[in-house]
Amino acid sequence: MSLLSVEGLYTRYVTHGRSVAAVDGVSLQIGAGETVGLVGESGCGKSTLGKTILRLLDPSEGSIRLGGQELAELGQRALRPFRRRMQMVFQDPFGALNPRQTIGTLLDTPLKVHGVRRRAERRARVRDIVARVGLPAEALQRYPHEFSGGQRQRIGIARALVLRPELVVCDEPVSALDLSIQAQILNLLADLKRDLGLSYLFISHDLSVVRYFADRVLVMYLGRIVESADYASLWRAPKHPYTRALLAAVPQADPTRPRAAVGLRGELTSAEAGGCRFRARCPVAVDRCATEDPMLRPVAPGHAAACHLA
Amino acid sequence: MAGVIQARDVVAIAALRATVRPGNRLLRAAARNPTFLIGMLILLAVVLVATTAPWMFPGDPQDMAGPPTLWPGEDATFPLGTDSLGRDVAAGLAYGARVSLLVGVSAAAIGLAIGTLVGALGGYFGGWLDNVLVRVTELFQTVPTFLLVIVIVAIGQPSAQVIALAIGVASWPTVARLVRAQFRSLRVADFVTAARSLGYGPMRIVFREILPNAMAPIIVTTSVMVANAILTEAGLSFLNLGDPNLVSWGSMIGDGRALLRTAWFLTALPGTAIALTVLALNLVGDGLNDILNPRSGLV
Amino acid sequence: MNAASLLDVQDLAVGFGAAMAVHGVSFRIDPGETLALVGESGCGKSVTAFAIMRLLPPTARIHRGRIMFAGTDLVSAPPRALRDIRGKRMSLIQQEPMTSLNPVLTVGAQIAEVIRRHETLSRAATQRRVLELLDLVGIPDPRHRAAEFPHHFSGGMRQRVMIAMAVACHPELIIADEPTTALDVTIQAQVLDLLDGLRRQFGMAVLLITHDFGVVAQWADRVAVMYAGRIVEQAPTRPFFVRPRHPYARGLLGAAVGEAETHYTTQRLDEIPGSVASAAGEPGCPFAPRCPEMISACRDAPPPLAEVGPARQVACIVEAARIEAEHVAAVG
Repeated sequence: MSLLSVEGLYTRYVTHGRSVAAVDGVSLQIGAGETVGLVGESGCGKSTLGKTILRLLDPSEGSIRLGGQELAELGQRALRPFRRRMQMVFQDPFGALNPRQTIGTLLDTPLKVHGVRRRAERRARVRDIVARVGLPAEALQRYPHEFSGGQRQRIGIARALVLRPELVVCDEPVSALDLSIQAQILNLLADLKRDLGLSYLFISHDLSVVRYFADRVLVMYLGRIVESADYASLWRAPKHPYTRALLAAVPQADPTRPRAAVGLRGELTSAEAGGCRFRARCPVAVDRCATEDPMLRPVAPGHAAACHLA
Repeated sequence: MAGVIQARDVVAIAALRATVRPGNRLLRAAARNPTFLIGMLILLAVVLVATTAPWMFPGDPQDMAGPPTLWPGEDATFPLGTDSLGRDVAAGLAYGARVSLLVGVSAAAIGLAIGTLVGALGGYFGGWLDNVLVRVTELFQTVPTFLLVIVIVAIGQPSAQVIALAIGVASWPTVARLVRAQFRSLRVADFVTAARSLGYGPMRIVFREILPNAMAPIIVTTSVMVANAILTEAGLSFLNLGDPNLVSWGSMIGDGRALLRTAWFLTALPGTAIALTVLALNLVGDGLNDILNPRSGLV
Repeated sequence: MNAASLLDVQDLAVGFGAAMAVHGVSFRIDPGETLALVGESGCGKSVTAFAIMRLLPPTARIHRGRIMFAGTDLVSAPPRALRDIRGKRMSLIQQEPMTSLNPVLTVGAQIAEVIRRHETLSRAATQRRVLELLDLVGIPDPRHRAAEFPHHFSGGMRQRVMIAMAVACHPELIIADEPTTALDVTIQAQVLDLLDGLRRQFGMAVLLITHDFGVVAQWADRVAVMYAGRIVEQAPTRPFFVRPRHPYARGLLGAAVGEAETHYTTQRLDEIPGSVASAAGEPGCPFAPRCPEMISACRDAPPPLAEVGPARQVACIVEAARIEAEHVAAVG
């Protein structure tokens, strides 16, 4: 049984009198000890999906099962015991920490709230997690503004892990960091996954990072998963035209390679009624694409795509 | 281990960022701000006069202490003169300072408490609760403050406590709007989302996570609220609607009104006291705004 | 220094109060070429760019150096002369398309403003030029879109408008400060392609500031790597990627998750330990505490930027010695 199982999830909100589905029918599974990468450009709904799974947003429809337990309909109070098991690492290391709390307080409070009564035990667990993320113990007395971006991200990771969750949703955890710090944090996340037996939902717009870090990758466009495969297959043989365009657009750090192709026309627009929502930008759209909305279906072992031509 | 941050790296960064607690940073910024310092100086002088009044002027300031309508400097025992009933003006100013400060501060505290509660709950929870609270806030705002205070005082008795309560009840809407705006913007901050994801209850989030970060504009507004409360109380006392058992700067102006053309010092002196105190509070408020505002570049 | 250079920055030093942000930087750009200025946050690349445009904030001061732009020293030029140069002969494209356009003016009005400031054209001619420019940068239906406000445009479209404003008067140099960092990768490719096409069409030079080595490899002729306010390596693009010389540049390229076939299950990323602040307040090379090649001499003084080959410079005493040894071995 998977650790996390999402079926037919929709998150809708109303804007300018219209109902928009930021998550428009998503199903996915994350197994224990697995890293699933979720990649897509801005506005595709990947952050919304991550927050909905953690019940920080309310789903409009669908099922979210953590270890077999249904979470989608639970109220906030009933969700509290589940919060120990799933946590989030945020993108912005500067906004993710309360500026008025010391790091010690920041890490101690979750333990207090979740019933770890004895101060000695809390202290031991806080020291343990701080050491695991590579910060010295004296960091506990300091305030967030005294740390660099990379160090704050380590603190954010420590906060997410202090309750020993099973699933961690990483929402663009390295996008706001410098290149050399990115490497440190990715290595750290990989080490922690191994040492603590974590599963990750790794959300990013950066394909290179996702390729390196994920076991399986989901490509998202306008609220839907358009392709799903293990990392090697996705890069070797992408089946959906959007995935191909994304891969082609990433500039390679190798001047001998040909330039990034300008594959797509136009820009991300909201979904049009009827047919494939990608057809306006698709370089290979055919007539069928205008009338029939392709479903995500298996096109090879362990590889699914939502395209008539896949 | 390559990935481990050395203690020296943490300290190096902290050193680059002037590694003092947020409180100390603010104190140093405060010391550099002339507006704030001048305001505080005047305020401290007023507070000093108010606290030492019973020692400097023992007895009741409403007692007839000497000959009527003495000018300041005429008699050494009455350095600021006496009024038409022979009461010591200096004693009146000193005890009046007590009244003004007490009423001003307690009214502001009441307004702050109510306003913060209303603004925080509405701003954080949104939805129907927010709608209701916004309407209530608007209702209180449409009624002219002064009239509302008069009505409340008329319903109760005109004692200093009731006056303070009335002013507090009339002035909370400003704070509520401010706090609500702060909470609405902070509730979507990442660190608040993190608190929700950790399962913190709404009360903990409102009071421990958001409120400490929302304080800056509230603190600035408080000094202005105290100034307004003092003015309102003075207005009430001027109209003889204040506490009849207390001498207040406003009542002194009211009493001196009849002799405005001959003994104008009777209105000028308490009037100056009010003006100075209100000015000081506004300076402190402006100074605090500079100090606490992260974009001013002074912190 | 090449007498034909368009831009020649000589020993530029910029500070904010007591802290120095740029410690004596020298480089040049020839007409029509693209120089990429690469570095991480805080390395001083944006400060350098704004210094060249003389658009630094009032708290910044140019301590020394010259910025020779087509014969004029921009450091000592009077404000009037600078205003004539900006927008006409040298222009700037900024990173954040959301905030760099005036929200209360139409897009057409903003482009027209640039033209009218620097050229004397009739109203009709200006309007024609505005429409031409919008078409040039690939904005469909220019006549209608020129009358719209920035909030009607997406990020990529706004950046195209910025480019239209930047090339309106056919400048000789464009400074592009992370022009695509805030854009999606599919839009990034379009925008960079557009910029490069215009560069070739109008014979402009580009100073491209970026942190992305992929962008450098694909679009730059030469690259200068900055660290802690200093240039640590300068080279033509191909030789740089074949063999980066400075240990920091090597470390950065190793840390970048670029190449195919590497996966976390089989390979850790090469880390550069510590952070930029590791050498705060110490004499010597600013990279020394993090450098795998460090020797004791590195801590004595910051290494000079030395010529180590054709158009190639490195600020590292260990590398300079190594290259010298290689030359000797090759010759001997």
